[in-house]
Amino acid sequence: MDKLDKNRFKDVFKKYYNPLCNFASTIVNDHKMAQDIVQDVFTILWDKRENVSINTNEKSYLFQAVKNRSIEVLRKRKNDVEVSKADYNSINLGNSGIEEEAKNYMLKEFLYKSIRQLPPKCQEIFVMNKVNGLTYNEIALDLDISVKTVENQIGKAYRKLRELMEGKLSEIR
Amino acid sequence: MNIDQIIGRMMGNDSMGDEKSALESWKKEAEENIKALEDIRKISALSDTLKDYQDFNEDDAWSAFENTLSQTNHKEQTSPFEISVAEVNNNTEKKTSIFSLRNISRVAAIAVIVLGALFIFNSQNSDEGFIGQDYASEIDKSLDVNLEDGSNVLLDAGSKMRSKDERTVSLKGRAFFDVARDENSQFKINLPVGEITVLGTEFTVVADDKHTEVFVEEGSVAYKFQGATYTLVAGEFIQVVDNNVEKLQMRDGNYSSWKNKRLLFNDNTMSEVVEALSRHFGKVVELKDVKLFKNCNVKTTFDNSSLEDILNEFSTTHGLKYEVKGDTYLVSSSDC
Repeated sequence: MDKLDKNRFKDVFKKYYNPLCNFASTIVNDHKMAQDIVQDVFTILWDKRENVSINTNEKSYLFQAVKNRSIEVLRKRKNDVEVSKADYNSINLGNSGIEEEAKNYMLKEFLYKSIRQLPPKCQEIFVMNKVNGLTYNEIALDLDISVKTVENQIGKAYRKLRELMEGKLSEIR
Repeated sequence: MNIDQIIGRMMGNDSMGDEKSALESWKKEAEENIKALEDIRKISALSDTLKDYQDFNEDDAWSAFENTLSQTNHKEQTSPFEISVAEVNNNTEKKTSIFSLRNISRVAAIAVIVLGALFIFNSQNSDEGFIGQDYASEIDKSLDVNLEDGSNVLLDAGSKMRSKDERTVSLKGRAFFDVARDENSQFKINLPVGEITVLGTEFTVVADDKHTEVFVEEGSVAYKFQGATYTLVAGEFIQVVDNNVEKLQMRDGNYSSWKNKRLLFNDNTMSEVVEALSRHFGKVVELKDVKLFKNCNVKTTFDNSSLEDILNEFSTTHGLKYEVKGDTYLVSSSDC
């Protein structure tokens, strides 16, 4: 096992693991299964590493592999070849290719990591509002603070996120 | 000068350089503001899509992966006995959010469930002479408790907890703990059978004199019993019946349905369904003849429904008939 190889592999693994798991989970609707799928893909990749050159476009390769495997899992689960309409919608077999889907998930990952860099209180309030769907009033009540404070913190969150995501935002239509 | 004046002046015949540049800078500022708003809208829209985004912990995953690389064979995680495969319940409760971003400021939660009608603390576990805080939920309502160390406990209906010190409690019943992370002090839960220690994670525990279950949702937990320690990680489940310890993979997405009162069935067999119903309602729901239900598949969601409501719905959709004997519901016949 060449040291350089493994380190490079580790970087790729850590960079794509989380977004890939989320991607798989959207398709198969099972967190544990999603992880199994992603780990399988990386295992196969590792086994093949001598023969496969994934230097360019590793992102597309990985996302495509995970997608294929996820659809396979879905098919087996349904016990027949037909995949239901609901699943088609979530799989997005339509116009935007794997490149687009991969980019989308990498962006989500970047935002996710950026949110985690917000100061604790600010982060908590932002997450309660945007992710958990609570209104400013509900947040104010829950944390025993004023609505004005909530507003300030949300504004602060957006400002900081804007700074952290500078450059990446142009990638969003 | 306000913008009206600036524009007014500029449009006049004798406009001067000053006004022009003031207008220019106003325009530039406006453009920057427009861009800022645009960016914020993008961030907002993208954040909306993060509702189901999870932290799969790439560092832990890499360690595990690295281990399998150094061995020639791959690890086998699934045990021969697998409980039903169902859709993982992705619902996040407003109060105790499972979304891991929130858990940075909170931490793990342990759910402790206790079966059985007796809620008297086992004399083995109650310490004489200790003065602790007692918490008990009502027979039909959950109780949300905030502990001294920042941990939070959601006690299910009809459960009791006693806090011994800042990081130790005894529990009988069912509860979901959100344990604040403290690497210097382990949080300990004394159960009628065995005890649990944790630094900070999310898991469910069911414990009474006869039956103990521990299900880990996030992080890892150590369950100690009869001198042996069992470590569980997310997705793993331990069951202790009559002093026999079994460690399994939890596949039932409805395992934590008691927390938000929602039961989600996605193409589950009737056997899987009655098992989830039994667990959720604490009753015994059985199929009289499993063979009759071989082709019965269920795909529905029940929010806050009673067991009777659900069974009655099934009699309409699947032609079920059932009879009740005390706490046992025997289900017979079907149209499947």
